Amino acid sequence: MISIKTIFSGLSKIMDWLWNINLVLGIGSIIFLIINLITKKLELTANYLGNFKIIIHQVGNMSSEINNTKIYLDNMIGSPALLLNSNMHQTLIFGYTLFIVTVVLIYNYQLMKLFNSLNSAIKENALFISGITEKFNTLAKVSLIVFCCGLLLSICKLWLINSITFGNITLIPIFDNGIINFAWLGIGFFIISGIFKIGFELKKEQDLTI
Amino acid sequence: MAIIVNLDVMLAIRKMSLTELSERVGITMANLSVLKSGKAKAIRFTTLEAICRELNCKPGDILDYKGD
Repeated sequence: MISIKTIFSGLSKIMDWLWNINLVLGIGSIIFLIINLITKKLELTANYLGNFKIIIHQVGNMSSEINNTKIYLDNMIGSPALLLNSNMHQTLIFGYTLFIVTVVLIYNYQLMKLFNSLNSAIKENALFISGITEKFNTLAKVSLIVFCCGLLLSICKLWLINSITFGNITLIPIFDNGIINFAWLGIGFFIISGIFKIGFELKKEQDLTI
Repeated sequence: MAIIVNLDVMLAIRKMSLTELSERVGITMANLSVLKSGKAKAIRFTTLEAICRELNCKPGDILDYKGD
């Protein structure tokens, strides 16, 4: 039977690898965008506007012979890759990507530190230590910051863009539901942080009971 | 905290050192120091009983209450 110590040791190693991969990818993205800023390439693919409802104004329908079922393509949800021609485009994307990469790196770094702390705490049979409480608290705060930023971006998108039309394809902005997960994560981390704080206080009291 | 630990006073009255009490009661020096300095959050009845037995005193001689 696999012990909890083995599980946390494995998770800690996975988080270490993920952090290293994220670091390489993050730095790579930034370098790529810096090169784009220097070379002043006007066309740059971007799908940073979140989810859109894609309506295809196509006459006719797509059909399948499987079980004699006909498939009608009405609309779909997706993140379209937009090609924009603007002098400000590279700078805006650079700023946006820099922000996203920073947030993702902070998030992953905090996760890695949390799993490392949990791993060493479980190894020493002392789970309730103040460091773990603080790490859960930081993760909760970062999650809520990500949620607020995503919410702001989604609201700006809904407010500023009515629809984008390319020939017979219309893109209608929709609210990015995925961002709500960060709010739940933040609340969850706050609750876990509170539980660990109570545990830490009880442990301290137990240690000072003669 | 409003609870005052007078262990040092009782030790002085009984002319007993903290080390000797520690050996007699079976509590580590570190824990007795925590109790003596007033940093302890709680005291077990078994510990209190052992200290009272060795110092030949009552719990009230060791613990006192001083309100604001």
